[in-house]
Amino acid sequence: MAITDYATYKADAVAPYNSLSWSKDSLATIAGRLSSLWLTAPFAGAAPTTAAVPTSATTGAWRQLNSSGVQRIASIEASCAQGGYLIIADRLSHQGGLSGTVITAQTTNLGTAALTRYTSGIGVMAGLEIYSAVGTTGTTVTASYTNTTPTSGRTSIATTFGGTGFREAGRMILLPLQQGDDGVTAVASVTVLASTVTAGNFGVTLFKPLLAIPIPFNPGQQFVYDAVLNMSTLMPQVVNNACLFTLFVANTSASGVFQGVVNFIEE
Amino acid sequence: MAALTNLSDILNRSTGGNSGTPETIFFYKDSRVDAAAAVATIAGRLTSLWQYEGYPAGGAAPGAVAVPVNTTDGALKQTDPGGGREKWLLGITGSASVAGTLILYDRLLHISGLNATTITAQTVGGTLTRYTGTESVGNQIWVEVYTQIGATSTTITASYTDQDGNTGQTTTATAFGNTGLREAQRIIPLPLASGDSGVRAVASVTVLATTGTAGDFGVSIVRPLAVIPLGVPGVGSIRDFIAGLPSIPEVLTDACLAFAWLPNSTTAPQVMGSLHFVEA
Repeated sequence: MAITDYATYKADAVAPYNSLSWSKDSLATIAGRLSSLWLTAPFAGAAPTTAAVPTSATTGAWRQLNSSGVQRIASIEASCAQGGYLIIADRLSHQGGLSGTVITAQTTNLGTAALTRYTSGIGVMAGLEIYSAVGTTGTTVTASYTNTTPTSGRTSIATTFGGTGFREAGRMILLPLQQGDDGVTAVASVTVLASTVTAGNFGVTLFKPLLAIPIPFNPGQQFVYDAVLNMSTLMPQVVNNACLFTLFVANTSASGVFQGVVNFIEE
Repeated sequence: MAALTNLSDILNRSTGGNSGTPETIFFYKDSRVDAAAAVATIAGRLTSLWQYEGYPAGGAAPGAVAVPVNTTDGALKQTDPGGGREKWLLGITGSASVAGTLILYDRLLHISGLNATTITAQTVGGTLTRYTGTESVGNQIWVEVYTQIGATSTTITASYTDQDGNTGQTTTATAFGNTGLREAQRIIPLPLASGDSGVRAVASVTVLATTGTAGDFGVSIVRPLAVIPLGVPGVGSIRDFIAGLPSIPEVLTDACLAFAWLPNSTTAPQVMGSLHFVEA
């Protein structure tokens, strides 16, 4: 099935299959750094421990309805107190309990739970999500992961971990892939090169970005993104049980209070 | 662009109808190269993100002359169109940790391993497979630095074949070496000779005088496709090519899509974004 013409889209858009209102308090951020709003109230999730596959029923997820057909995000109406870049993603697998002071390969609560959505791993990103701040000493981190082939034992490229901008609760630090790779199906271990000095709590999150929208640099301004009007007809499919959550690249030290409505249409 | 007939057709293909095969690629370019922090940028000087790590994985210095394709590391790795169809870029979104401008281009040919102390002509060669012949109008020649060259200023030229097939054309001498024009990842576009508007091939490049350090530089022939301004750190931008210009750029089969960055500061960027394609 597809949306065959504009008239069909218009009919679907004015009577969406599902509309979800959601809001988020402001999260302390670092300008230009990616943050996860998973733990941000209201509708906050919890820091995971053992490896699990979150779904639309998991606390913190958007809890959109499942569909008997194909469900898509068609439009977003929202406002935010700060400019930035909002990413809506399907949270595929997560775990926690890793330490910022352990400098051997950490396997606590790892490997990650097997993907049940986007199982090929193509386009799936792996990030280190910080649940409690790790230390102020900057170091680097790598992970041993399985790519889309699937070949295990792949090693992500060392990237910055710990220190300002790479330590605070809510920060999402993406793990750059080894050459030849274009996605992740599992993470087996994480290795912090040197202690950040504070253990904190962080974990591995595998997610699939679905839609990204710019948040205008006009605090509080209402904005509307519509697939046809200004999103180049991008209408990402939302598969059943998807654990939708948001990530945010901030412009300043706070993400800003966010409120909005997301409209889903069904083919 | 006769294949995309109207908005309803685009909508249909964007949602999988009529063999539209919609594809969305999310990318991330980390400000790191070979597991180390990327070299500082220079405001107003082009920086190559070819070797920046991320999603998909970063690329490598190419070595011998080669035609990179969509499966080459460093490319965005979009799928090729099937069934005799063409692929079209409908939109881009992006956000960067620092202000700048992101340039999407098709990397048509590249070579590295050239020496910034050699003052005789250094061979480039190779044969384009995309934007060839008269379609070469719009192709550009970029010098790309892979390992820092010397601190002595000089100039560089290239001998090339223009869009009409005239061989032995010479680019206008442009500054090469020294601060801003020597650091790894720096891109130095070579101005075409008067009257020229494209490039079919580059035979050689010549450094006028030694920069003092060999380093490692190369030549790329590229085809810019789209530009997205990311003027405020963190704040996203969007280019909707259905509603704006340029109007729905075509992405050729095997296109090696890659990014260049025009920075506003000395901080190497982290860049995230998405590209949305359909086939027709």
